[in-house]
Amino acid sequence: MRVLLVEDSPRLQKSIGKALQKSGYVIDTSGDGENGLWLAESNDYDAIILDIMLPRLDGLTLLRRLRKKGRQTPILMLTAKDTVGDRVEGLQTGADDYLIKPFALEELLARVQALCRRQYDSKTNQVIIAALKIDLTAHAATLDGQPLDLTAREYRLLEYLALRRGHIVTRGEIENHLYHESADLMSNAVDSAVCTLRKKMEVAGGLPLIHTKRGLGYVLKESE
Amino acid sequence: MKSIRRQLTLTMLCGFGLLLLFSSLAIYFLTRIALLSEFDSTLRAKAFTVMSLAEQGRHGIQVEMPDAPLGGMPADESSLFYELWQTNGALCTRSKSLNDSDLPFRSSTATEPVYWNFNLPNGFPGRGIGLKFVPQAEDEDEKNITLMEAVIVVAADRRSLDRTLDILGAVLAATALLTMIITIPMVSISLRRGHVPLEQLARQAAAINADSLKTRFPVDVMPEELRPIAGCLNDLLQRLESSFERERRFSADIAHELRTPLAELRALAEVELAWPEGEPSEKHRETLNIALQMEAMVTRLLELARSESGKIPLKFEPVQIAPLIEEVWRPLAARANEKHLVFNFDVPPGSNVQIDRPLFRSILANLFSNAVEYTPEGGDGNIKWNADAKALTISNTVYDLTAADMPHLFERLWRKDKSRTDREHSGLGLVLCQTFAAVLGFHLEAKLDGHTLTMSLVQKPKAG
Repeated sequence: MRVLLVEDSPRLQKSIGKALQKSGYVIDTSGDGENGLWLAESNDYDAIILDIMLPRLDGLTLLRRLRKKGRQTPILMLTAKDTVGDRVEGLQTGADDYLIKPFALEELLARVQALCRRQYDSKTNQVIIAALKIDLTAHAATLDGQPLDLTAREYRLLEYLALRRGHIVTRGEIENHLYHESADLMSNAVDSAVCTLRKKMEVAGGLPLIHTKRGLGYVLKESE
Repeated sequence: MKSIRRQLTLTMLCGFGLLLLFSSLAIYFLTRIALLSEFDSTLRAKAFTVMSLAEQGRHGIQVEMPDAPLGGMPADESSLFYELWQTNGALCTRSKSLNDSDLPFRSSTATEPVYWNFNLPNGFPGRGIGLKFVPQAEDEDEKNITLMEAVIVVAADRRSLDRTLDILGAVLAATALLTMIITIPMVSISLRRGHVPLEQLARQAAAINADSLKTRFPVDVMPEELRPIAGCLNDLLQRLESSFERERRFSADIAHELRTPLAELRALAEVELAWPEGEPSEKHRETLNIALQMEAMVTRLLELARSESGKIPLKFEPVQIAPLIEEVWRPLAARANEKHLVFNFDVPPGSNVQIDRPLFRSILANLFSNAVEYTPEGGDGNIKWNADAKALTISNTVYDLTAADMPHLFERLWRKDKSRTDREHSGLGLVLCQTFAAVLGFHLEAKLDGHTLTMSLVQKPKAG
């Protein structure tokens, strides 16, 4: 999952960024509204965490412009503005959720996760495809009841493919969701990651679930 | 104590009394002068009549009184007093009324006679006129007689004049006294009436407190003298309201500004607790606790500022009080049991009250939490709802509080020293309860009876 954090406080950027990374998200951060809008328009994020009081461009204007351009990325407003009026304004402008500072980190993570799930029409914390079971909260996967020993990136790849099961996911989309904006990728980084994941799933003894669509990308489904 | 009304009454009465005294004296003396002048004119006319009747002959100077009284002369000769002397003092003649007694010898010129008071030979007060003149010759043809100068003194009984003056004096004194008797209450009443607007102003001013700084005095309907005062008071209220507003805004702003650093602190501690990087996690737990404590205080300060500025949206609806009390008490029951507290509930079922539920709930949560927290181990308490009076009383045992603490109980950030070490409480809970209660039309007060603290939350009677 790839999340954009638009927050002008470097300390919060650091803390929230760390929490999200440790929770398996790929994070892009921006300290001002203009840059945040550019990132949100240029990338396909699973969720955006957006502060209201930002330099250059305030969060509500950013949100308005993004929605005006048809971008439906789920947005969580994270702000110190706590009155009912502020919350109503944020939600009516197009935010999907609203969290007031100070906040419990656990709650922020749960809300971000719920927003990401909503992106893929999932209402539970589990994805089950044949013998593959993914616990979205614990960031763990099992195949035939056997835990899969995955690195964080492998887990994120599996989770992304699973959330979009049955749909072809392009290499570009995978890159977008697995890697930072600033990451220097090798041309075969995605193929190599998919290959490693397949091998680990084969070792676990399951049927092949990740299928290659030549020239298009990959799809995770029960059988070809 | 200095009283403007008393001072004004005294000044006005003294001034009026002096004015009355001087005017009475002026009337008296002017009348006296006029009456004396009149009296003297009559006396002079009498003297001139007697002088016209005086004749000099070979046997000296004689006065021939006619049988019929002359104009200006008394009909009764006994009331006419006159005496004639030669200038050397030798008696020429005197009126019968003198009965051989003498009038005082005193004289002046005929053009400027002398008048003076003395007692008549009959003992009554009299007034006389004395002058020199040359009596006419008895026989105008007698050429050998040398006309001599004579001195005449004519006197009259002065009693009627004195009586008139006495009556005038008495009437003036009585009038002045009566006027003063009537004036004293009149001045007092009119001053009291005149002070009514001032007293109204004082009452209105006394009713103003920190919550009613929007009040302004109606300058247009006030008496002219009070307008500058009311205007100044209105200006003062405007300044006070502005500074209170600034202070509230400042509290709200500072509380708001603290939200982001608090979020930073809390997030930092939580991240370090969840994914520690070698540091002992106890420090981060402490940091988190401090952040949470500060967060609670900031939240309360903001709630207080918003409730004071009327920015809390309210939704009044009938709420069943018994289930609400039970709901609020439930999370506290475990702590109460842990401390072996015995709380009795006297809440009749089915009683409704028109309130904003979240706000009322917040008051109950604060009061119940305080009762559980501050009741000593093994202590007891009562929670009672009076359905008719719409009044909730929470009483519990306390050992820390004294009567001297009671006035401070609803002060912001006040905590008894012992409790200061207790970081769970910010000293804002009761202030918040009282402010919320006022917003909901309730009154919250505390009473200490021995070691029993009773908090009463009573719905105020609706105006009209």
